[in-house]
Amino acid sequence: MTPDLFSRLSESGVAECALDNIPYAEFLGFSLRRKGNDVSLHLRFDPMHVGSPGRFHGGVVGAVLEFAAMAELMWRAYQAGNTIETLPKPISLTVDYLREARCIDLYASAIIVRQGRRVASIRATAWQDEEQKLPVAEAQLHFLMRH
Amino acid sequence: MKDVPLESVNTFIRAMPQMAALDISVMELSAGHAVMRLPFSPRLVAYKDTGVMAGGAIFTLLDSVLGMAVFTALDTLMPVATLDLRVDYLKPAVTGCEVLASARCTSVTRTIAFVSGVAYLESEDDPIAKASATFIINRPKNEGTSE
Repeated sequence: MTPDLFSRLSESGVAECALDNIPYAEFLGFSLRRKGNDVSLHLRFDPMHVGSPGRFHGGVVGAVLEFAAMAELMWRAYQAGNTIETLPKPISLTVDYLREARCIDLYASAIIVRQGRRVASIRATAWQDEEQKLPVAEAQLHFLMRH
Repeated sequence: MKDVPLESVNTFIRAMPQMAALDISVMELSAGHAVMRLPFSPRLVAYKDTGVMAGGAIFTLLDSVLGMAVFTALDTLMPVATLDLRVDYLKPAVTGCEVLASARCTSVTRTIAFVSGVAYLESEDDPIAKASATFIINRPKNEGTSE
């Protein structure tokens, strides 16, 4: 998630960019979507995401929530003109698994609850339905901000 | 759970596509206890400057080993699902190093299993992450209700 990616995403007409600069994000197949001023993470379903038959591995759901939180932090910093060059370091991640994550595309977005100088507190939600009314998982995360 | 050879457990694990994709394997197994291994892979790197693996990969390893510890604490094989999982990232993994994780299922009720574990490089006493989770146990409906 480089300034270059965010500037591409800011161009009018561009709605989605693959996270191709981070090996793990590329391995799972993450891309970043922009809708107006907001970004969300999109994971196109691939059979290799499956854990127990018919559903995503819980670890992949956790990774989606974690990247959605990092994307939100970096996107908001970019918009404010304080570009973050490296991925924020996670301190802790607590995931509530609410529904089975089925074998279809998975989305996640995050909100910054509080950003201090050293630590940011984030909430993230993952969903699979268009209306975003049935979250499959929610997470609470803390990140260490590096300057 | 009755004694099952590690080899058959690893065959069971390999049938889960995300576990196979990360090349996660079981190293040790006993009642309520499991140890798993995640080999280093450049595709799992999130921090290109240091070559450190993504938190998401460690999170997936911990979700897997905690779930396995729950399986070994049950009398018979029953489907379980993660209810919540907290991971504290104590320090980064080291590039090029495999990560091990061990978990212990401390308490099992009719519906819920409580489990905790650590991820480490060399010694369990020097963890890089610690995890705590609850799992829901989906017992067959016709099973006796002795609590």
